Order: sequence, then C-alpha cells, then structure tokens
Amino acid sequence: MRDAISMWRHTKMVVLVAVTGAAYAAIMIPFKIATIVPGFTEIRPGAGIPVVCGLLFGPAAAWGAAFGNLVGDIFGGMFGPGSLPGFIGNFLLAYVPYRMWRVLRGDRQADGSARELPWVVICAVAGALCCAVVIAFGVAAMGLVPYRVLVLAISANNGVIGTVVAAILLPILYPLARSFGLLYTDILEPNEFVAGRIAWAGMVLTWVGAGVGLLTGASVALVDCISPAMEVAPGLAIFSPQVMVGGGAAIAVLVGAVLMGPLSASLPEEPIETQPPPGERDPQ
Amino acid sequence: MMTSLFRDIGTPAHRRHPVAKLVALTPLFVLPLAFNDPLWVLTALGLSFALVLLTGAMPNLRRLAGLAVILLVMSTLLWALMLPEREAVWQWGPLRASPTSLMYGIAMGLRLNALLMIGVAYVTCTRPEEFTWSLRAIGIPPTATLALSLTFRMVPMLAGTAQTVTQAQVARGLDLRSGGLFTRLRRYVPLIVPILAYAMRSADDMARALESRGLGAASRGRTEYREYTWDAGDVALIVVSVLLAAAAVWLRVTGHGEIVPRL
Repeated sequence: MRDAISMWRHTKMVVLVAVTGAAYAAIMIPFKIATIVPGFTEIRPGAGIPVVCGLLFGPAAAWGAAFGNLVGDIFGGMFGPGSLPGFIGNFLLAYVPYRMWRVLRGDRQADGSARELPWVVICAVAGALCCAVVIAFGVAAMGLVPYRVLVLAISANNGVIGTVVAAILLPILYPLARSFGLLYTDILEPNEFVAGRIAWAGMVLTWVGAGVGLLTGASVALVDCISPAMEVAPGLAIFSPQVMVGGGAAIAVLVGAVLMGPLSASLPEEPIETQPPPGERDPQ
Repeated sequence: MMTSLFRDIGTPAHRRHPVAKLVALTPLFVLPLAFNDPLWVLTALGLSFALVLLTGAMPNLRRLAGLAVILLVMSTLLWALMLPEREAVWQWGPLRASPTSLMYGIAMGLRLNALLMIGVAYVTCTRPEEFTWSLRAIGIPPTATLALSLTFRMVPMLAGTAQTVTQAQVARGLDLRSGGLFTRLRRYVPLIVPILAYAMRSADDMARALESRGLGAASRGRTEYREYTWDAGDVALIVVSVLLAAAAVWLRVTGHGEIVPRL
C-alpha cells in the first residue's frame, strides 16, 4: 500500500482526493433511486463513482471516497462510531478495483471499452464486497445493525448498482481524464504503482476474505455450523459468531489489499516507462 | 443545498478547544455502546439529549427527527428478528423472535439514536475547519487534512452544480421518477457526467493554485491562520467524558445494564 502513502507528494493527486471526495459526497447524498433498508441503505447511483475514479485516479480516489463518505456523514448528521468502518470500507471500494486491475491487466488502461468490460465488472464487484464486509463487520461489532442485513444490502447496492454505473460512466469519463492528464499513470512514477511480486497472493486473499464474509451473511446454515466452534473463545462472547467470522474476513480483505499494492520489498529495480501525459507527448 | 450543520451561536461547548472536543468524543460514544438493557441505554440517551441542549443542536436534531424515528423502528425490527442464539417464541423461516430479542432491538434502536445525538451535538459546535485543525494537531499529515478541508469546501459547490444540472435536464424532459430500476439508473448518467467533468476541469487549476501557495514546500515554520488555546474547561471536558466512559464500562463489567451477554 506504499502508493497510498507516496501519492501525497504529488499536488495533482492531493487535488484529485478532494475532487473525488466532493463529487462522491455531492452526488451520493441527493441522488437516490430507492430504499433497501430504511435508515440504513438506499440504492444510489453514486455508488459507482469510487470504482470509476479508482480505475482512473488510483490511490487518490481511494482517499477521496473515504473522505467523501466522512464529509457526507458530517454534513448529513450521521457522524459517529460507524464513520470509522465507513471510512475504511469506502477506501477499499476504490482501492481494491484499482489494485486488482493492476494485478489482472497490468499496464492496460481501464478505458471502459467492451473488451475490458468483464475485467471492470470483476474489479468493481471485488471492491463492493470488500467494502461490504469491512463496514458490516465494524458496524455489527458495535451492535448497531445485524451483520447479515448490512453485508447483503451493501453488496447488492455497490456490487450491482455500482458496477452498472461504473460500466456506463467509464467509457465516457476515461477520455476526459486522459485529456486533462489526470490518470494516475500520468501523475505517479511507475515504481509507485506497479504491483509487487506477491500481488497475486494478495488478490486471492482478498477474494477469499470477501467471499467468506459474504457467505457468512448469506448462509444461515454456515453460521449454525460455526457457532459451536466459536464457544471455545468465551472472552469474545460479546460478539456473535457471525461477527467474529466477518472480522476474520475483514482482516483477510485488508491484508490482501495491502499485498496487492506495491510493497517496498517487492518494488521493481528498473522503473517501467509509461506514456507521458497527452500535453507532453511527441507529435510524431 | 448541502451545508455544514455547524451553528455559530457561541455556547460554552463552541468555545472548547477543537482537540478537546475531538478527544472527548470517543469516550462519549462509549456510553450508549456499553449497555444493552433498554432502561440503561435510555439513561445514556438522556445524557446525549442533555449534550444536544448544551450545544444548541435542537434545530439540527429536529431536521433529523424523521431519520431518528426510522432508525429506532427499523433497528428494533431487525434485531428482534435476527438476534441469534435465543429462545424463539415466534419463527418464520430464518426469522425468529422472542421477548429478549425484542428488548434487545429496542435497546439497539435507542443506542443508535443516542449516537446520532452525540454526533449531531459535535458537528453543531465544531466548524469543519476546527475538525481538520484538530486532526492535524493529533498528528494527521497536513496534506491529508488539507485535502479533507478542500473536500469540505467543494461539496456545497458541486452540490449546487448537481442541483443546476438536475433542473436543466428535468426542464429538457428527463424523467427521474418513472420506469424500472435500471431504466432510472441509466437516466442518472446525464446528471453525473457533467458534475464529474466540471470537477475534473477544476482539478488542474486547483493544483496550480495550491502549488503557487506553497503546497509541497518545506513545512518547517509553517503557521496556522487560526490558533486555539487550552483552558481548564477543556481539561475538565476530557476528564468528565473519560470518567463517564470508565464508569459505564465498570457498570457493564459488574453485570449492570445487560440483558444478553453480547455488546
């Protein structure tokens, strides 16, 4: 996750954090299509913004989605302990698609073309599930909303609605971002974003965590099966078995996300040359 | 229009040091989280309401009254039907309910409302600038808090753009209310694209403006426009909130305020 730290050295990335955050908060709150669980989850087209911005702006969009969610909580009067898992979950909603794209597609651009669509869907769904598992665990651990309700509601909203919106928006916004020189590949040095050697392991761990977290919410039988095993840990009895498994899944997701990013130990020795921003390109 | 819930009314809570308010917030959140007996959570709710009155947050709370009621009702229903591992007196598929689960549901609904009140009280007496200042004071890097400040500043501007774009598209005949889910979803694209395009267009100018003001230059000797000083009231705020949280945890550990052995 070195990219999420080193990006703060670039002024354009700092601005993109604010732009993504403000656009996310400004679009997320007023644009609402339907309510899934009143008071907790609604179907909002803004759910696609972190995914699109993640694929375009990289780590700046991850921080932007997290800041946008925090600012939305403060402006909406919902600032509270749930804002912390919301911050981390929304960070992953943009960060995981961006990192997973780097692992799966390398230097190919997420331009939203029909050929790249299946990969966009895979990355967007992974981000949505990671976001759902982390938020549902954090909020359920505090006893605010049942884990099952939240993990399914957020997965459905971000996974389906977010992916559809991202698939529609990406081909429109990619040429714009490219012409403004705002793609993360135009701003960051290649060694700041190229995937490390164990990125594949990170991706597998992310999928395992997201899958287990979702299944724990979806399957009553699975919870009944794991409940007796959880009784061996009486010190943790204040959490339900579902929340404890969700916690394990959330940790797997976070570790997987870290491993997918560039680690200082696995950075390539030679920086890989990328295309310069359009303004600096040789007319030949 | 989206704006901050801050009210410039100068209560004693408004005059507290931003770091003191931020530090006191965490132990205050512990109060409703410590109990799951409705009566005890109701006590925490009472304390949270007192905080609302002290910070002059009643107008903001009134704006959120509908949400507070929905949270109470939905939380009661959800927990009543989904609290695992209890004696069910009613069952329908995976949904089970018992008097204990109902009581737990009510407690969780009250807990959510208590947390909502504490959050509203905090944002009513704290400017967004004070929030980011306090984050910087506790060690968050200045560039990150600057980005957060910019986000706070840009949200009302982009929300205004969103409103203008929506009105323009609706005037041209865009119908956002009819049709199925995916049809309506597709209709939001002409609203989202101009907002994001506008935001992207402003990014380059903003980056230049920030660099011309010294962003990225050596931060040694950097000064703040606003300065805050500590006084005895700030220390008292932190001490009282920590003592309240410690008392709540101690009461829970000694078996008070609990109807089921879980958080």
